[in-house]
Amino acid sequence: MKRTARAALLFAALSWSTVSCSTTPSFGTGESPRASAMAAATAIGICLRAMPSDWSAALARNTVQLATTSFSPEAVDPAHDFAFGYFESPSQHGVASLDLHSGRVRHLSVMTDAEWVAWMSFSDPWLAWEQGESRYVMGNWSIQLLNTRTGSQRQLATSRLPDGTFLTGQLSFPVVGNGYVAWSQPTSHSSADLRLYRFDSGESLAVDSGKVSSPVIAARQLVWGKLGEHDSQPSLRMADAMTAKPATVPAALARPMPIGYLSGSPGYLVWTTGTELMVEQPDSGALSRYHFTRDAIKHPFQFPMLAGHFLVWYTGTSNTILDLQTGNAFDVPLPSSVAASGDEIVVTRPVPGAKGAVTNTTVSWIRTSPATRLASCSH
Amino acid sequence: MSLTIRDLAQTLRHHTLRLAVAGVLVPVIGLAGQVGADAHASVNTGYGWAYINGLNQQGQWNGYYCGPAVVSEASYTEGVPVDQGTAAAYMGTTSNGTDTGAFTAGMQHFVGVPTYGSNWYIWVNVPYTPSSSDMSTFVSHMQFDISPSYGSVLGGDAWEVAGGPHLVGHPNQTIFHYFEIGGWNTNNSTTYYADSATSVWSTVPAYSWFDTWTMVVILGGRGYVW
Repeated sequence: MKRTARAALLFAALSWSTVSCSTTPSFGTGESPRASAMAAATAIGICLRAMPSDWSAALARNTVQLATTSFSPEAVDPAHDFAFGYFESPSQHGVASLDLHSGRVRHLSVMTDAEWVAWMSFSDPWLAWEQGESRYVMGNWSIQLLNTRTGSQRQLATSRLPDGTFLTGQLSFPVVGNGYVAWSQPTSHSSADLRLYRFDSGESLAVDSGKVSSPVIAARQLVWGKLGEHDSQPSLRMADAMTAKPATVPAALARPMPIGYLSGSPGYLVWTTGTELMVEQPDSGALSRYHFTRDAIKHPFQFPMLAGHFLVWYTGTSNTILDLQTGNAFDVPLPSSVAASGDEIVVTRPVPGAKGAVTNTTVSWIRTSPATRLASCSH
Repeated sequence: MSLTIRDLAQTLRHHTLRLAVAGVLVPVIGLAGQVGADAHASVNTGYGWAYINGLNQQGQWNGYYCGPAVVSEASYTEGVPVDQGTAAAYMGTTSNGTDTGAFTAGMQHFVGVPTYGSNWYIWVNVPYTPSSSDMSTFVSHMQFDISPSYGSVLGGDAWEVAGGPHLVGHPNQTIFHYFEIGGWNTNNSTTYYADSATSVWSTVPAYSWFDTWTMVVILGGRGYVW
């Protein structure tokens, strides 16, 4: 038997964004329409190199082994050196935390066979994730919220629509921070609310409605994408990250443009256009766009996460780590999983075994600093 | 028992399988092409590459319709259209998906027989841990089908595992998924495919070129029809 979807994730993905991806046969990557942000951005060619020895050494120093447990990190707590993610043991699977120093795995939420983790976000002590509720009905998911101190878990939302059907075509990826969790909540097959739930008051409000993506928090803004009624491409929308009150989008970012995935951090706002990676530094307004000068076909920009000035993403054929300051990058070969947050990057590598089997896992992590560089790359 | 022209074409197809190993693929393809059947997809080709013109792609109607979606896509690509609901009913697709036997039968019924006559599609198991030989076989099957003579799609059955390779836009989780294969390029070792998951995960591109070896790894433990 077949057909599963033990998964469905897509980070802040816009439901209309596939138009920006490769829709015609091509041996290279096509050019996207140049919106103002793209025209104003500094173009940077990404140079792919081998993992530098100092990174290898740093990862080797910070390593723990997990016996007979598969662990895929989805979120990181850099303040306490914990990773959160999806675990599988011979008898159980679900959500777990991992102490990166001791290697202790704590099961936070044990799942049924039908359930799985699609995406996670953490802000101490709150862990939110999108949980797949079926291995076969891919649009059937829920938003779960867990207080990692008390162990209290509650379901905030589901993808079940008012008519009893499940969502197809839209995705929801929660982001936690500033005392709330925000996500894109479908209200029909063609519309969603950008919903925000405050932990202290229990207040729930709709920040925006329509064809909206899930949001990210970048610097002092809550940022999401929206496809306007008369637009052929989405545009960025912003609200104050604390109050959720509407904020003005900088002129350079306001025009409709291709937007695929979003990612945010205190220092960066990142979005993908299908063939390029757009990066804004909100404090300075500096804009850069990155593209691969070779091997682009093996490095689609998807599922991005930020740690300091490093971007990590899962290409489908590797995990890739990019230094946004130098434009240099390296691949972490599969099998592996990588997650990042704050200034910390966590890399897990299952011991090779039979496909789909639970094996031992090697977990490594590295703390970056503003001085950390990926240098010495030649095209 | 009579042998129809389409039976002959199919016989030649199987002979080609064997003869390809002996390195005489091109002349046999030429012969088979002359007796090959009627409507099929047109193919753009050049040195070391080929892809099907107008490879049809559809968003799957619901979360478990990837099998019916591939059958429907293939049927539209090859000019014998059938919708996903009809394909699903024939194959007995449920909320648990479509099994591989039913998928192969659906490809035969809706695409193989109407387009090529008799049972055109053959299921190939790919080992859990594929070898370079499996890769070569997969490429030769693509080169046979996705050629001006035949213009036939292949149907892949992906098994993606957490931490392992995934098709473009698929999250790093365990996923089983049928998809339509419609092009190959030996110059950069890539394969062209259409993915019906656009209606489920909205940043999945409808079409992608993808590293061929990685695709064979993804097919490992499952397989494909050609």
